[in-house]
Amino acid sequence: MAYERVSTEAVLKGKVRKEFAWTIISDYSRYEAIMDNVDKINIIEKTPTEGKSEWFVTVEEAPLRWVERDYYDVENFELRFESIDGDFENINGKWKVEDFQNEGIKIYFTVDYNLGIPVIEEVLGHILKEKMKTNIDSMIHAIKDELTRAQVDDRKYPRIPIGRYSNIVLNGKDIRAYTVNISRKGMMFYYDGLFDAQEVQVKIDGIVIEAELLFNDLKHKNCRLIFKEAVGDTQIRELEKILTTTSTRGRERHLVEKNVALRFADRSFPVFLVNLSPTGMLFKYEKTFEWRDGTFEMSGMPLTAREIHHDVVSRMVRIQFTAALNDNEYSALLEKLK
Amino acid sequence: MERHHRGKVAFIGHPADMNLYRAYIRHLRPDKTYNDKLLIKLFEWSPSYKVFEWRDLTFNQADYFDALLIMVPFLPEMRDISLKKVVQKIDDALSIASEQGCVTAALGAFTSIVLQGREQEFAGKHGLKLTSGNTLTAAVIVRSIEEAASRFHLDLPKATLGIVGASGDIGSGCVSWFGTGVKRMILTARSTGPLESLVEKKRSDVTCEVSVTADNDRAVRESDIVVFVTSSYVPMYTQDAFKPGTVVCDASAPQNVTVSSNLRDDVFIYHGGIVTLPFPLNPGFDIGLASADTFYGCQVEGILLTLYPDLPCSWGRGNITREKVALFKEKLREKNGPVVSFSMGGHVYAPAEMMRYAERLHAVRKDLAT
Repeated sequence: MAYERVSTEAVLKGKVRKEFAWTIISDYSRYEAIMDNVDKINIIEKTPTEGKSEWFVTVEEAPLRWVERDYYDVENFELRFESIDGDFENINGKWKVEDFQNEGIKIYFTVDYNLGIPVIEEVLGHILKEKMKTNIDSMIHAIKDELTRAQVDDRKYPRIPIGRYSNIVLNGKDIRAYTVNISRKGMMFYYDGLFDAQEVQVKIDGIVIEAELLFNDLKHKNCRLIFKEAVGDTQIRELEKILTTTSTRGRERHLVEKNVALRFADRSFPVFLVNLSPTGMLFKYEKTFEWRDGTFEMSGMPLTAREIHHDVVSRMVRIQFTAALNDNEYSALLEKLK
Repeated sequence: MERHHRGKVAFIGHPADMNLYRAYIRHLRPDKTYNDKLLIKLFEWSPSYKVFEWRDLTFNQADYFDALLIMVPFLPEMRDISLKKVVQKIDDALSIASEQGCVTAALGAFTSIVLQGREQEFAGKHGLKLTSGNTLTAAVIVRSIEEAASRFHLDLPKATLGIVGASGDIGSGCVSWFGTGVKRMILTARSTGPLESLVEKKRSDVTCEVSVTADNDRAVRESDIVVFVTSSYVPMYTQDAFKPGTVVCDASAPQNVTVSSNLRDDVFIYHGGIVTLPFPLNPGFDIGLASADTFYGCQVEGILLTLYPDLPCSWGRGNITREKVALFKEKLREKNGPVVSFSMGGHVYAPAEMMRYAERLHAVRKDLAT
């Protein structure tokens, strides 16, 4: 019997990042909680690029079990899986997250299956296909709902943009963080070094907040925490003040979060520009990057800079412009980056 | 001899129980096992389909027929399935029969119970002769009991006959026949009301002493011969429940009596309503019969209706008269035709074995009498 294929997709418009969707999709430990049809997933093995998991899924009261090999391609936001044992002869598939028309993301989910019981699979044909389609639709909707839930929280508790570096303490560990924003119910920041935990105690200048991880993009070292209890009006004003005044950086940085190209004389590098200030910028590169101090062009503007920090693990690079941009140059560059 | 093609018959049925369904799946996929809940759901979702076709079958080398086995994916274990869905599946099966050129369709096991009372409607809709096959089943039971009684020196006019499930169609046919042939009948059903009505309706056919009860144990305990013709889908008794010397005819599908691999030698238990044919009807997987040349009486009635268009179809409930049973019983006497079969589980009783049972049962009864 040939494979049958079912596919589905979901579009999320707005400020939803691929990294965030990827964090949810690639974290099978969350599926049981967010997907009605997933009864249990045993994660047998897991490395950053591969894994092995045992699935217990109910498709319209029919209990299905299989063991699959998982292949995580974080660079391309693609998760492939292939069954190696179970009720189906084969059940293979792929999750993929892509940018969508510069205003959100598109999630694709495709499953190829082969039941492997002659006669029954022929007789069931389109009936099983419809049920499998309904099943994967419900899974992608669960992912979408999870992403939307975070957005709804955002709308309920408006974000206060910070855009500054500060020292915060996460689970007792001093972290140098670039706080993107904070709300009464959470905060988002970039961090240096290593950070990986589900339950988080955040300490900001004496204010202690219990939080849990909504997502942690290990690739970009970008993290969003959800506070277990919404902080009060007075406290959020205090936090805003602390985070905006404790920055040791003299110059204000603008959060950009955009894919741009750094064009050198002989080659060009696509990078993810995190922030920009008149004195420098922080960016994340994708695969390989070879910085050369000197002149390059970004968004049509020639710039001269030198590297001041290069974290090869997180692929984060901070550069300092040889001469600080004046107000006109800086405004023009920000305008081009919009 | 001149050949006549008399048409095509559809055997419409389903696995009698989960064991037979598992056996069917094992036949399709021998190297793998599946959990029952998944298998049941896959079957529940499936529409009816053609499983097997036999061509040019004949009893007498003159009258030929073809046959189709059509699967209605249903199991008694499907507790949540709606009646409407089961009816739809049977309707689909009849459509397949009609499209495949069948002239007759025989409804096996629960399919006949589901359509009971609506046979005319569905026969008309699909242009088929439709039968539950219950009259031949009753005739086979009657014939087998008479033969067993004769072989085992059991004097029927002095015997007590228990019929468990007597208010059903086949049960009421047996009541009609044996009502004048045994000393006493113990008739059981879930409630006694329908049994009392049945006895009243068959008053002219029932001259023996009759007890009606909802207590199946009583029939099992007090009868010399017990016939099971229930629609229960769970086993009711083990072979140990019967008193020594009893003859047990289990004609329910699924069967009501479970036996171990060591059959009792002082009780004769056989799968009732089964006939032996002069040719094999083997679809390639276990359909709950002891050998390839045995088949369900209800389905064989479809063959007889195809070969003998004057025979009446079995419709409704309580319409099996002595006359109809006699008509079909006659067909069991014809040369090279279907004959009653004695088997249980995967075991066909050999003539020598029947002789041993005759001796043993006779001795046991003698002991009990003294």
